[in-house]
Amino acid sequence: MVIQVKYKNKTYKVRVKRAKVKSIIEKVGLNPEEYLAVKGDLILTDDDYIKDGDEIKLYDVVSGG
Amino acid sequence: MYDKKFCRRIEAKVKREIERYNLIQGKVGVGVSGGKDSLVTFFILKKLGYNPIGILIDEGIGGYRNVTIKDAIKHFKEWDAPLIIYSFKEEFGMTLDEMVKELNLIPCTICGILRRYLLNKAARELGIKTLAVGHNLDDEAQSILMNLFQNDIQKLARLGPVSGYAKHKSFIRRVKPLRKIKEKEVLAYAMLNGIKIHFITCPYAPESFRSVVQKELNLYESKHPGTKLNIVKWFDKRREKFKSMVKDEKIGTCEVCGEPTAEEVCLTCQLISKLQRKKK
Repeated sequence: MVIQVKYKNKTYKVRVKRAKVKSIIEKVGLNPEEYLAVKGDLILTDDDYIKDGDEIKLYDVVSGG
Repeated sequence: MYDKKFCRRIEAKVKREIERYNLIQGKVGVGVSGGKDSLVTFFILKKLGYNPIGILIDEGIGGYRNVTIKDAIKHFKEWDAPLIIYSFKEEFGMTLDEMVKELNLIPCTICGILRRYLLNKAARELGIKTLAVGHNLDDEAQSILMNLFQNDIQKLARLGPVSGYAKHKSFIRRVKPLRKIKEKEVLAYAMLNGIKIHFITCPYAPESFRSVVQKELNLYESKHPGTKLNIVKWFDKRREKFKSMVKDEKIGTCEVCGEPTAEEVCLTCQLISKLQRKKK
């Protein structure tokens, strides 16, 4: 299945079998600890599963100084 | 997914932490930066019925603080809550950006000293007895490791749910209600409660030792979930021991400004006089 991952101005296409949010974030080379995934209005945990054709957007967890 | 149940769990966790350590005593203020951690701290304390006052320190960091201040003002208006703003420019005559050009010091060092001073002074002027800050689990675990790596028992002993170990009549007790909440959970909670913030980082942050420790700790946590909490729990079991190791340090009063300090002249006054000499 194909998942679209949007982060800042980039869009990544990830091909995986059934996968959790955590492994999708890892697949695009980022650390799941540092990003929060959002699908539409839903805020996803690392253990939520992603379906084929889903689009997720990543937000930086680390902010401030 | 994160939902309303998750929010209730976070609020209950914060309440438990407050009750366990008797964190809130008397009138309460929250050090607000306009970032998610301090806004969530304020939001939860308000929700729990503590009627906090927000105190915001404007250090004068171009492209960063001016943005987060707008976020803070917007939310405080929505919540119909009090927000008092103090600035480096008004208090010390210069912004942090201007000071950084004059002093050959790491920006975070200057900022840390002056921010702490001004926040304490502001809280006292406003009659606040407890000052809550937005430190989350990630911040606390990082601080413990940083002090461990530097073998700095003095600083290590100051950590905990109530920070600082020395008592002084002018020192406002500082507490961390979010100390057991992960940074990622704070962001999820903020999003679920309509707390919208800009995703920006202080331009000086990449220079800090903290950001290095943060990166490494996040790598470790992703491979070994629970590490951050274990570090804090490990520390908490030994906190009193660390405090007893440094109990000789006496906090006196600064000869120049009267604020609490371990030296004759406090670090803030030392910095200010350095800046004044440079200006001449």
